[in-house]
Amino acid sequence: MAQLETDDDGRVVYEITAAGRTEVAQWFQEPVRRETAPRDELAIKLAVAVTAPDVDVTAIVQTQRGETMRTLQQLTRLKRDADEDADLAWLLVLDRLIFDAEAEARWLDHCESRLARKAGEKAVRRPASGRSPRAAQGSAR
Amino acid sequence: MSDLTTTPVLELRDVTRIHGSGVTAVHALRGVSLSVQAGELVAVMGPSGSGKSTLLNVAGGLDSVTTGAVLVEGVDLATLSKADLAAVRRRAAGYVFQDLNLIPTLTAAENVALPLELDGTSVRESRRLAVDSLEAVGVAELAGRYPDEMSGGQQQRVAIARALVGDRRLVLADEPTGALDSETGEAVLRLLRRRVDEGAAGVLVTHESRHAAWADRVVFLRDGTVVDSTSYSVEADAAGALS
Repeated sequence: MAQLETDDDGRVVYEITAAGRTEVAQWFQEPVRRETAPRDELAIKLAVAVTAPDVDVTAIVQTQRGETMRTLQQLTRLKRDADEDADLAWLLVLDRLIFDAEAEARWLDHCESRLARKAGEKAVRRPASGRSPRAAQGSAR
Repeated sequence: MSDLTTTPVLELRDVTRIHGSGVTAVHALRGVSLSVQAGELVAVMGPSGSGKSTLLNVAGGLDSVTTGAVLVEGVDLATLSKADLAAVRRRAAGYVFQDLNLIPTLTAAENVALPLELDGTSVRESRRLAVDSLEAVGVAELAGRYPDEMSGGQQQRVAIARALVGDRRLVLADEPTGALDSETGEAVLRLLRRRVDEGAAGVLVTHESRHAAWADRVVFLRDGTVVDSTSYSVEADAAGALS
């Protein structure tokens, strides 16, 4: 950026240089690469929870899903209130946040299904009577 | 006589629905209670087989409950004769399905007018109300077109116009955006939301949280039981979602 002058209100006016224009054009042309995964507290919390004793992981998932859903509702409310023509840039950002929150909700559903399946497998492997899993499956029919 | 200003448009009281009997019995709903007021949109979410569609079917009188009660505008559906129940389905509740269910040999206006004509309204009056309803969903110009002359989004708008034609105050939507692309689906949800804001009550069954977020309240079903419920709080700072 090149500094031009200060306007009547004391604000400094800048102008993009030719080199800057080239760099911006290159920035627009190149895809954004995600080379490092950001630290995700929720993923870490669930990963720790499934290895810790006496933690109700399903309850954690349900509590989080409620919070994620509220976030989605808030973002959707902002989107409803936005003007489709005047707020295009704002709507694109909101869409991105909404899709991110939706992905989190879908991942939580997936976690819940996986946890339920694992819990079912454990119950079959360790029948209360101490019989073999095959015998336990037979009696469930 | 019920007080319609305070009576929920739809109320499910401890509803159980069991399909079959004995060892093959399937408990589709287990003690579900739900109340939907005028001006309120409630989304129902849950995995396949959780009871979402059964809930919608009993809410609209398309299926009966095993125990419990379903009340539409204060009237217990179980107390109605078949003829009266059919009348409630025609007059009070409107349905929007994923597969649209528009009759291919009728124009958009004829499709929308059909439930009114079946209910004894004159053809002229039915057509007038149908065009009003099409206008309300922004597709009045399609009144003379047949379903195969419209896009999926246009057909879904016609289906919503049919669901809300006349004085109906309850709209029941089962995956109404399922067959539509993302942007068209959003337009349909925006429309459904607007009709609810104008005074209808709505129940939206969906498996997509992005769509459920258009509702005031989201109810989660699992194995026929309500396991969780979230509400949008007007008091909550919407901008908090961005912090």
